[in-house]
Amino acid sequence: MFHPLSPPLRLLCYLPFRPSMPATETTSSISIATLYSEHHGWLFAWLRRKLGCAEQAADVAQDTFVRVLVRNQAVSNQAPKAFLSTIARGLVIDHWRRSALENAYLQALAQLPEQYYPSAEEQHQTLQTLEQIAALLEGLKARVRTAFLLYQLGGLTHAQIATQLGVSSRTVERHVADALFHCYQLRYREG
Amino acid sequence: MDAARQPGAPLPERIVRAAIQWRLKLDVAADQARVQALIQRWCQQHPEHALAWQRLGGLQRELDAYTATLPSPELGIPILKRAGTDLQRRRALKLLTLTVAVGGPAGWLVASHPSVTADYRVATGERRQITLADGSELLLNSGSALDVQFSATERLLVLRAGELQVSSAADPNSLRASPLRVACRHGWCDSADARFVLRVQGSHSDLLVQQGSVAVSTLGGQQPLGVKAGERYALYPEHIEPIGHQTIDPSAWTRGMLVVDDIRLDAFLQELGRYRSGLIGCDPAVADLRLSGVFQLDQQAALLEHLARTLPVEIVSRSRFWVRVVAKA
Repeated sequence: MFHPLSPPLRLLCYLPFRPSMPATETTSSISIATLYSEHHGWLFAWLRRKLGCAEQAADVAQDTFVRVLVRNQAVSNQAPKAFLSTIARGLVIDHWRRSALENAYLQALAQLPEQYYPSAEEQHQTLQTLEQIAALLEGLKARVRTAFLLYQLGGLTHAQIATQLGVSSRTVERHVADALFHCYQLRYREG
Repeated sequence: MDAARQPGAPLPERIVRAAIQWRLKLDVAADQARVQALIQRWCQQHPEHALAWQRLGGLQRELDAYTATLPSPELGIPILKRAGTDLQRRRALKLLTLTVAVGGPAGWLVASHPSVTADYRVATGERRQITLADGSELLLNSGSALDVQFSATERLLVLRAGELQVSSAADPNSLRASPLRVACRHGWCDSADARFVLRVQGSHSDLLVQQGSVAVSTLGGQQPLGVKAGERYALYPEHIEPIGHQTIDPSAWTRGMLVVDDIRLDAFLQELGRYRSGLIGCDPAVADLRLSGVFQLDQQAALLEHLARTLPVEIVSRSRFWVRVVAKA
């Protein structure tokens, strides 16, 4: 990482942090600045415990506040802790999902001869698609997920999947239906 | 947006389940036309049947698009299985002790505005020029990711990764009359009719204003700071500080160049790595050699040859993706 300033100069230039209180602030909503100054501390500590890594915790904490900024919605001062931890928890799961997928993908790639190695852009595209599928299937039981992957990605029939998994065709059909219902709910639940 | 994707009152589970059963029946039907006709009749029985079928079709199109994007099922299935198991294990271990009560989001959200979101990604080694709806011009550097969110009340860009040059237009929509806001993980820059370069790094983001002026705020809520043409600042989450001499010209990339002044070789190679696919390594024995110069970013082979001619180093490359700079034997 490129750091243009030497440490002594950085100290000299340090501007003390003052939370600002914009005039628009009311009893029902909180500015991002107030939210940050009052909640960054515990959020970072909580994330560091969850992730076991200060650097990743700092990243997720920053991203949590950026997410609030991007929502373009006023934040009520009723329950800001629950609000922030819900966002942060989602980001932690996204982070774990991404790193789990990256690890599994890199292991799969390591077995390919170099001439079949995808370009950085193809790798990025594939990982992104894998993430989207994984996010959609999040929370399904392993058996249901496997049956659905074989059906959707593998294009296998219920009977073929049943043979592979050592269960009845009827069970496979139930798994596939459950997985579709799960995805449906994720996509179309009340907004 | 697809009408079926609009959130609305949830349909009864039994109707959604019935639609799924029709979907699975259609999969295995020997006589497709007959089952299609039965489904059509079912849809005509009730508007909710038709809506469930329409939504299921939208979901299926999304799933099919993912399937088509993956290089092969042989690759995707084992990866998704392994990663899914791994994720479940981690969640079970670490998230059980969630200390803060979590409820539904309804009470927190006071106001919302509909907005249009677009995402841009730039591949390694490429630059991308974008003209926004308001006339603002953007140039995205190699490996950058940007979200664009324009609504009736706000013009917001979020630089998720990398670097961009912004030439912000004054807002043509006088009712909105808002500045163009460019946010990153450390803070945001508001401007109209200004040109600047913003680069996101790990702990901070670097800003160089080239023309006009930019109002800079940090997430931590410091009073906005006016930054004028020619000035450079680093944005940290809770403070902003001026940047002194830089060994890398922060705007040379907008002209396709890498301009360095008395930079360490390892820092130079790290910077060069932003523009290359694959790994470029530096032998610690030569890491603190220094160099200055003007290089063309799209002539990397010539650039590496130049290094080997002017510094006591040689370039070892095992493949296009694996290059290492070591001490000359």
